[in-house]
Amino acid sequence: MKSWDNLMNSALLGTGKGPGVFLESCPSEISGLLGAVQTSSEEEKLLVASGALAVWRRAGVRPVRLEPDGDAAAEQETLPPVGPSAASHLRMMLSGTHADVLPEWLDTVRQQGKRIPPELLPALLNHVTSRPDLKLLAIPVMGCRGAWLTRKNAEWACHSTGLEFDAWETGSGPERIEMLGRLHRSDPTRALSLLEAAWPTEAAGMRRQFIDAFQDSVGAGDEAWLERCLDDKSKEVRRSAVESLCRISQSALVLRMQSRAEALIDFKPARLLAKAKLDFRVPEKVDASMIRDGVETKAHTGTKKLGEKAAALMLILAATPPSCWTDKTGMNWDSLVASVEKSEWSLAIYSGWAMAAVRFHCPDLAVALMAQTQECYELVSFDLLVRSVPESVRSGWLIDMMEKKRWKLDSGDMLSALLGALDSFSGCWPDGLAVPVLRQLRSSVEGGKWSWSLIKAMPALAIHVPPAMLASAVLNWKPVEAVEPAVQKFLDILRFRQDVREALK
Amino acid sequence: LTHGNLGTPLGINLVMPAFTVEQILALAPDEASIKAGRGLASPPKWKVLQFSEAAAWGECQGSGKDPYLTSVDFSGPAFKCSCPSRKFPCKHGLGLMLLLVDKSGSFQKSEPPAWVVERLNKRQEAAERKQAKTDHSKYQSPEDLEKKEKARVKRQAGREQNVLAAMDDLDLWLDDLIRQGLAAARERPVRSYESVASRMVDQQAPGLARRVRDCRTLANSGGERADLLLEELGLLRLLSKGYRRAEVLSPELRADLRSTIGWTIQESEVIDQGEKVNDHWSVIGQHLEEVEKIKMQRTWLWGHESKRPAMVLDFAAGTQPLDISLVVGQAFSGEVAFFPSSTPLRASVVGKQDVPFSFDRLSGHAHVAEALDTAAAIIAHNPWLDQVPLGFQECRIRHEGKQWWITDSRNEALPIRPLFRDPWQLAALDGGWGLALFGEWDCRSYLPLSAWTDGRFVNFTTKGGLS
Repeated sequence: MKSWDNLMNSALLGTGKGPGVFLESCPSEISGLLGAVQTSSEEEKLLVASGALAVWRRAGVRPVRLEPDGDAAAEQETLPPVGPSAASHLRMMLSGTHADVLPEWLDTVRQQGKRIPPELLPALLNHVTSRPDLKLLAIPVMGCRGAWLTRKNAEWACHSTGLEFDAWETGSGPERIEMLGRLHRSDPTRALSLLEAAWPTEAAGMRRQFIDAFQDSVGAGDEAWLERCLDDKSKEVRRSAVESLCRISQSALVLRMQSRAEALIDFKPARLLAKAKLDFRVPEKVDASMIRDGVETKAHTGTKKLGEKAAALMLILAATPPSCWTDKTGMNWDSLVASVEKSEWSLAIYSGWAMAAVRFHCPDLAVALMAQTQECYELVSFDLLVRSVPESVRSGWLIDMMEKKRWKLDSGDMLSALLGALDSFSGCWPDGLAVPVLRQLRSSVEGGKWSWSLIKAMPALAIHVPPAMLASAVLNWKPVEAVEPAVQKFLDILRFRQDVREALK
Repeated sequence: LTHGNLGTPLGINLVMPAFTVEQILALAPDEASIKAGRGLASPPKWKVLQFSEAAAWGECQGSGKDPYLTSVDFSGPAFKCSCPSRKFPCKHGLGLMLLLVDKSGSFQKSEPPAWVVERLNKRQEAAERKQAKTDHSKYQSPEDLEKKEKARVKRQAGREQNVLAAMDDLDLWLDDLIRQGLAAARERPVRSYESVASRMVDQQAPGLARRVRDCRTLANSGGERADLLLEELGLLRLLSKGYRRAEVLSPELRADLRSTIGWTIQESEVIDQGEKVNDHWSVIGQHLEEVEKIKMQRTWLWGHESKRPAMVLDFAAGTQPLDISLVVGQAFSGEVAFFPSSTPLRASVVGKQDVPFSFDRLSGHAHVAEALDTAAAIIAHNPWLDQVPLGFQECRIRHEGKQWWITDSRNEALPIRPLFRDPWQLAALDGGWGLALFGEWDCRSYLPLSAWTDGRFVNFTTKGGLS
């Protein structure tokens, strides 16, 4: 509006610099009005005109015309929404209270074929951006509206449709890793060439994560490049490269390790009265070629009662496919595990096998190790070993340990291994496992036999109590005073889970 | 033990207005209270949970020896608790209310114990005293009335003089500012505005003081704000000019000038003399802001028969609680008295009947242009109005670059206020299908306060979140 611009210019300069010209350009309605107002000074005249035009401008705002957008509406929802109480629980978890219950909540809603109300979609999408592990649980409960909204926001878009290519150039660290992993699954050659081009300028931490990103889809085509990574400056990059090379069947590294392992074998086949017996020697020395292949013993000699050569044996066995031993000896895993029990190097052998069982996906070996070795919790990477067996096997094993082998929540060397194993379940424990856990927990906190690691683990334990047992699990706790707050917190989670399920009925 | 003795959920729902969890949480003074309240919304934390026709109460074991005694009077809802917290409602009150909504089965029907009876009586007495005060003024002796009237006229004249002096100061300041030019105004130190503002306060014109302080903000931010600054200065000059010839203006416009200056009217006066409208009122939105430690709460009502909005204003200083008797998303039948104005919006709730009903839609305009016409008419009558309530029956949410818009079926749009907390939430509620919105228009941008979509009401007010 020209008259306003004129006024504005005069006002910016100030009337002290001389009278402004503005009345002439005013709309006639305004200039007519202003003509009738008596003013005693140039300042007043300008201000009154500004006031009049201000009203004119403020009352006269017209809509802005936007280009029509071609966007289609979200599809009609087919799932019913959860009720207001359930929505309020979700809001609560997304704002940080009892956030650990969120996976269970999402899963329950998904199973019931319901969806969340639209106003909570942005908060859930933001949450999932920082917790990509929840993505698969979250997508189904977001309904058609969720899919529609996700496409509108680049920050969320990677959840459903896959990242656009430019995420590699411009994305955040996690986005680039995710993008590379995804690309590697569909087009490994392309992924590799992208990575090779960027390699020299990436930091060591990122380089390692990039290798890890396609660990699950690694193939023969990646071998040559991974082999070169064995000469990388960074130890963590080298370690990840070894890990990936072990996943390529018949890779040169695996073959090298296998022949090293075979050179250490000490096998007596079954005779008339004697059972077959397997044992290993430790390598004479650790040479540079072994170190290049990942036999870096330093990381293991400190904490776990292993000498340098024993650690080397462990790492060699860890990179040798376990099938090698069953093939070679014709023995099954139970007898193999039993036969090295007396070995001078049993801890190294068991630990190496444990690592191999995880790496080469050999649950039979894992089960044999878990069930038969006396102090299996001392094995290197025992936590990974436990996670490598199916949950049904794991729970059976845990029940056995807690009921028969006197593994206790009270205290003891195995406590942290036990707590880790109990928390390794993706969802709830089977009833058969929950019973001894709750019984032992109760007797610990009521008998005053508790340790800090147990107290710290209690909230995590509360997440695994099966739904059918929640109602009875909250009743009649009489903890000693010192652990009262921790028990209350534990019970709060159980009660919240009960409320959550009630609200979803 | 039979179920007849227990407070069944049905029993409680009959006596208490139907709140939702979100509505109760909207009463909380801050986020921390929400969290703590939720933690207490668990029956095992309470030694006693009971209710009667008039109230619910409980005993909550805190860190002290004696449990805290918490009660909610349904007629408010009015919270009371023996805990030392200065927050209102405190976490115990919120926890109790949440339990009433979510787990009413945990409450037993009972006769109120002495401490609850005492609280109920106190509230009753206070209400009666208030009533008596109004009644009393009607039955005063003529001499008393005359005396009071004289005192009032004298007070009024005193204030009139003060305000006129404030106007003189304001004019001098405005003229000085414009003589030196707005470019120079940017260079003025903060205290030059502040000293004018505090003089306005001394001269009983707090509304002018607030506007002067706004000018300081506008001047300091420069750029496009220069337009807004000149508008504001011009409107101030119109105000002072209008005030000097108030005698020729209509009483309504005179009232608008006075309220802009900050000349408050006694609520009892409004209730006695203001225009009263009896209707079904929906509480459709709330805006909270805090300026210089004063919390201000605007609560918007919509009359179903009268088809008009009303705004209930409440202030609280420091830790004082704001009024919580109007819960967004609820509705009531009752009488509302409007403050005198050329565009009556501000109102006071005179009588709220205890028959709550729920509302099933938001009224609004079909098109942006039509809504702006309504706004124009209101602004033209009262140019000093800071915000106009606008509802839209069916609008879409659009997002272009960094700017969010509401648009109508003609693709005509209004910008959404950049301060709006979560525009993605609006987009999610829209989903390309459209939604009904209610909010405030300040002649520059639109601030959504609530939405109606898919048969549901959604409230956007957050504690301390906006503005």
